[in-house]
Amino acid sequence: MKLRTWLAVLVPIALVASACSSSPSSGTASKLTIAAVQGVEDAGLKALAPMYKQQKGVDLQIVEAPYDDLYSKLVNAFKANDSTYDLIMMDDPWMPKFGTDGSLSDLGPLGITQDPDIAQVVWDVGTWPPPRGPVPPSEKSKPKQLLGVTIVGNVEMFMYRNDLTPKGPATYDEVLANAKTQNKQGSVAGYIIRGKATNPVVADFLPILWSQGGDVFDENWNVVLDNDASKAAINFLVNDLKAVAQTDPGGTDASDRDKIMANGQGYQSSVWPGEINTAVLDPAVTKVAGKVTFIPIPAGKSGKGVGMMGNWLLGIPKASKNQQAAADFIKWMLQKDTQMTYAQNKGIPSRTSVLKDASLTTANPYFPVLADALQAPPNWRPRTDQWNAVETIIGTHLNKALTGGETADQAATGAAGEIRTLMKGAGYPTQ
Amino acid sequence: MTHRGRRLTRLATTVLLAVIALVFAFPLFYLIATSLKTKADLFEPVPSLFPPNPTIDPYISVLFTRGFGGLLVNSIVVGLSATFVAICVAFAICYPITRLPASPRLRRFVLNWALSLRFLPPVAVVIPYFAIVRTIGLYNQLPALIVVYAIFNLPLAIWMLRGFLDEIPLEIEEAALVDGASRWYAFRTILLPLSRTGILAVVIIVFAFDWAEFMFAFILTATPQAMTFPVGVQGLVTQFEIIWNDMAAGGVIAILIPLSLMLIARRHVMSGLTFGVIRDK
Repeated sequence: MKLRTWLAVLVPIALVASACSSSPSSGTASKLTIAAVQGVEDAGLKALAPMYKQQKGVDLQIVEAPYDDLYSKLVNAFKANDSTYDLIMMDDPWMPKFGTDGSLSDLGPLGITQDPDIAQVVWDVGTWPPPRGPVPPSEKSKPKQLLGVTIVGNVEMFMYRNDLTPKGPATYDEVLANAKTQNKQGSVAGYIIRGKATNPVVADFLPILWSQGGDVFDENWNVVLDNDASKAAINFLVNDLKAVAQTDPGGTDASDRDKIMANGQGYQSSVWPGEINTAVLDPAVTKVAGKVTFIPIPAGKSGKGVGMMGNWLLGIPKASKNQQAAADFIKWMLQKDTQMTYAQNKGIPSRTSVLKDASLTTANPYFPVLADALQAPPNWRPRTDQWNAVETIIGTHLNKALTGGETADQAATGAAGEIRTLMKGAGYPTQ
Repeated sequence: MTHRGRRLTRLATTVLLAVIALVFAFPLFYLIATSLKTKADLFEPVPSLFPPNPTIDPYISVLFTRGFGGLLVNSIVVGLSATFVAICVAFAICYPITRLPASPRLRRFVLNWALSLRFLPPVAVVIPYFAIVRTIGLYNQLPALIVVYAIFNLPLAIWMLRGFLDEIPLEIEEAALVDGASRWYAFRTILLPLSRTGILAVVIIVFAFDWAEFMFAFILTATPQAMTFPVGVQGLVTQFEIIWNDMAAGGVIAILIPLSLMLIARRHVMSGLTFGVIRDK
């Protein structure tokens, strides 16, 4: 066929197809578009979509993006005042950014009220400005609004191999002692560090930091990452735990940790509920079926173990044209029977009664621990729209320390200095 | 050189070429092998070179379960449309500077301007493009990508087309004009057929660039209605899991279309790419 014949055939097809496929998404309440994080976190949500269509006649279009991309896409959509998304999934550290920017609708007037079967911290983490802890200076005068409701109850926990030590570690001293014992036997890594730069290593480290009595900020936004307790926590990770950890902890992310654990090459580590089902409990790949126990974060020098919250919330963008329909979906999703179905389909619920339901614990042995962790309550990451930058600073220094580029003390003082400069520049009364 | 020396040289050349071929072919082989592995295979402590239990499940997952088939259609639509637009505009620019008595200064200006556009890193203009696209209401719509891709590949199309058109003697077209043909008629019946090899080369190259583009597709789209295939494949790196086999299957599928085009039209592309490289008017 001659070139012009090809062009005559292909170009009109392409242009017609372009015109057909470029129509904007429907703004009617017969369809809701949800921006969701790609991965296990939205597995339950996807399972609910046909059920909602059947019960309410509303199509759920779930648009998935990976973690970092989802954040960028949401920021772009909010900046564009785009009405594509009727509902958005957001990690709880994103709340300060979206709350400060005023991108989300208040769910209270849309009929969403607190339910005592859901832990108070779940409501608090979706409230902006935050009901406890330090509040950003620019947000102090704003009225409190419920901007998000947790749909993935995610609190960092701890896992260990019960076939190697029947009793799990109650404290970080025991974590280290057990790790040394297991390492001496030479068959497994005594501790698996998720040490990849930025978010991964920070997520791994903050429960250690808090449990050991350290912190990033005090109640007045002063940086305390370089005080004695915080330095001791960094030293514990970079020197003590690294000595008994897997090779290349600085290059290890969650998927690597899960592979090490599922292959029976690791003894213990922290773990997010969201990652448990991808490997450690996946019968298709795990070599440690029934050999892993999930427990709360062990206690540190502070006398308590402090888990970290990583809840995924559902919020409604102000630009959505289907505000009430979106709120109705949230209400439906929080109902107990929906949460049961959600949990049976790899969703991680937040209702205490569902998390403690005996019929679910065989497939999800960590549910009761998660219920207790939510009631504890866990810590959330500092509620500031500067958190992404703060996390990058801490995560870069910790990774550098884990890979031998600087000492633990240098990481502490270096990160603290950079965070002070950042926060002062952002208008915080940081010292 | 002695007979033995020639044989040794030939042997050394063969070995060297084989090593180079291996270096280039191995990643492709490993991509294909990974695309045929199961999740359990990927969890083995020591990765295997060949899939122990070959399966096409990752391809089914990518194309159907995950719905990337729609993204593939988007990529084809955007690629073809943007290529068509870029070539039409490039023709409109190249025709006067190669076929009409334009001053050398104007020619240089147009060509240098086009070249300067090519040197502009996409990241430098992504924010203004985002603002423009959202202002005119094209956010998350295929026409936005078509326009942006056409603009970005226009310099390439101009420079390639200009080389081809320069090679076609003006006298042929002038003979038609003397015989009473209009400029449009001469363009349609003489210039266009004579430059088809060049056009095909430009189509393949520009389409390949459009096909592989990621950044604009990522920034300017929000839903599968407008997302392209590379954006979907990139999404397989999740927070807690990297879905290697699906990603590899996506990679194989992504390679297949430009590779097929290149294989079908390689003779034209080779001659097109070497067209006009010696002479400069």
